[in-house]
Amino acid sequence: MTADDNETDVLVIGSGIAGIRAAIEASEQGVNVILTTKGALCKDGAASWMAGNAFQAALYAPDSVEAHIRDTIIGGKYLNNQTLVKTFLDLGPKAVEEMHRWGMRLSRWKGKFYQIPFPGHSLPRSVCGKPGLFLGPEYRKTLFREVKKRGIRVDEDIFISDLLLSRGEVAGAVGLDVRKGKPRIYRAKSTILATGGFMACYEFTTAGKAATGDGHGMAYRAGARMMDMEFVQFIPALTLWPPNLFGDPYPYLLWAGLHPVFYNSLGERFLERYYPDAKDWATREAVARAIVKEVRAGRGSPHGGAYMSFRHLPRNLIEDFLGKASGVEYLVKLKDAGIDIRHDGIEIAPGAHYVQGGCWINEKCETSLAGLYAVGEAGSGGKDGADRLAGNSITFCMAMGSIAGMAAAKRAKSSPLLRIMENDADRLVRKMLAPMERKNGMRPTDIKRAVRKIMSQHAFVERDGGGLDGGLRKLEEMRERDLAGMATSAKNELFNTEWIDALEAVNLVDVAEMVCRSALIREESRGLHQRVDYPDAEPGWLRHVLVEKAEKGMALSTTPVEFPIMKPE
Amino acid sequence: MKVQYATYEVSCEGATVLQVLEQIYENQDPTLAFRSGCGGSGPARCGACVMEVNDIPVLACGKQAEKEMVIKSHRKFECLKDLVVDFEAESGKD
Repeated sequence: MTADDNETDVLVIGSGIAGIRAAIEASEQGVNVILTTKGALCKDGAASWMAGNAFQAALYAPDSVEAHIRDTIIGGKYLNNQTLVKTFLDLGPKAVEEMHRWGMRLSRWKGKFYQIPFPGHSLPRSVCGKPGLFLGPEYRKTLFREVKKRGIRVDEDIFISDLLLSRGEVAGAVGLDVRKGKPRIYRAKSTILATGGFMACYEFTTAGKAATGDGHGMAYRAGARMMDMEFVQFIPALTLWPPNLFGDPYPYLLWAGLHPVFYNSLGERFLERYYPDAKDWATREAVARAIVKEVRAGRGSPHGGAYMSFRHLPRNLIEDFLGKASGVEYLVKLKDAGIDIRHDGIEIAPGAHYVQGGCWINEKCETSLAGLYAVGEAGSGGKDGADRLAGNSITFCMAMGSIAGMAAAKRAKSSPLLRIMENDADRLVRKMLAPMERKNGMRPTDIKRAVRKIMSQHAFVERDGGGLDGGLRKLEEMRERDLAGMATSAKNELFNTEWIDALEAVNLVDVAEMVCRSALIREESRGLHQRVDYPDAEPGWLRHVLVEKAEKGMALSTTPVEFPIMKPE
Repeated sequence: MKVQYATYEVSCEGATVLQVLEQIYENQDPTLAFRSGCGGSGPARCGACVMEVNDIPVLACGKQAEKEMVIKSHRKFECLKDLVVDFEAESGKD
């Protein structure tokens, strides 16, 4: 083996909010920690900029954690793992207190944290920054500072490609040292997956290209039980026009600061028709669903979406908000195209924003593989159910990070480093080197593009059996014909980003197949999973869809949801 | 590290510098290394794509591409490859 060795107690893969929180906890427990990240700490990844403007916690009466749990389960259409919801949301207030203590600048009002309302939450409970300000930069600065302050070792530009097992337990991981172009083997007593979502398998997404489900892929390949993969959150906030703002998710920020209303091409506030009670304050997935239906019915805006309008608000209210808001360039470009949000609507459409599928986990964030924990989007557990309420993600990340960090540290204190078989490590290293060694083959960037196209056509907001079957056939073909022979055209060793593309492409294909297979099996519509051929929610489908690696391909099964806290109405 | 320049001709209208780099990577030179981070999405900038365009530090995702540009890695940080820097290592240059 020509790989470098790196041994530790707790290995955290991924440096978002959940990963950093886990590393902090493990470090506080007095064990050695290595945090790896495939880019630059607190710059690449979603947390530094996508973690937007909602962070939910039941802080003050009359609110209560019970009410927060209740709202979350109702929002999740009763598909949530209720035990996990309670375990994690119980830690909500502590999460806010920690972030604040670490220096995150949260708005306060008369001695208390200022909390704003969001759809689906029965009370205003999201802490926030200054109005119009995304909290992303605050997370980036605060968490970076905490990592540095505690002297946590961070290995940047390390792409972990696969987990290493020793007699069925996770013993470490194989990765690429991108800077040197050399394999690196980590040995760890506990490993925590904190790799984020896989929204980059869609063409239209609020996320960047880094969200390739690396943790999902490696966990699946290592034999971990995966679940809820069909539940991808789409939010209707991507700009369609003008062309230089195409795909820009700025409307997402506007939506939290100002309450918009939505119009179809007939000038109808169509949400009143779909949701007579909630109307324009329906949850984001509900709005996304309605927009897609309107477009399909021929009532979409000129560029294929709906109009998001603030015209009903007083002009000075809008201007007061904009005066404090960030991201002026977006509004300037809009104005250049003749769109003034005081009078005009922004054409928007849904895009993939977050994923609710991932590893099966218990309330200690343990996956089905001993020695492996999963947090954040990588650790599903069914915590979000069929739809996630806005702002619960940060709360979950903080709670899961602290729980997994503690559990991982505890295991490390009483476990040895497991012996890794050289054959296993060699096999995974060779697999990682393969795209560089092949002379001819499809380029990773073309494979990723093909996956995005398949998923956008076959597994987007609305699905149907025939479409999903078709998508699966295309994915199978791609796997055999293209992925097997994938080759980078760049062969330089040092900092080869095409090599990263290749390793990500492998994960995208695995994830795409898991999503399509799970979506095909669930023959009902519930929350984020919408089947045109099965338009109603079926009580018989109060089950989770599980995916596991089988001898050949994927094995799917289901397991019933339990209702220890509240039964479906 | 020896500094080398590569010249590319790109056709782009209204593109950002980052989009230009992505075009070069896709169509001309897959060895070109740069950090894209958030890609300039939304209002919050992550800072991963910081670099110098015509000697001025910019975020590539926010800077409109000009007809003629000399693009270099940010002088303050140690260059790892092409436009990629190590944010943890200052170069010691002004």
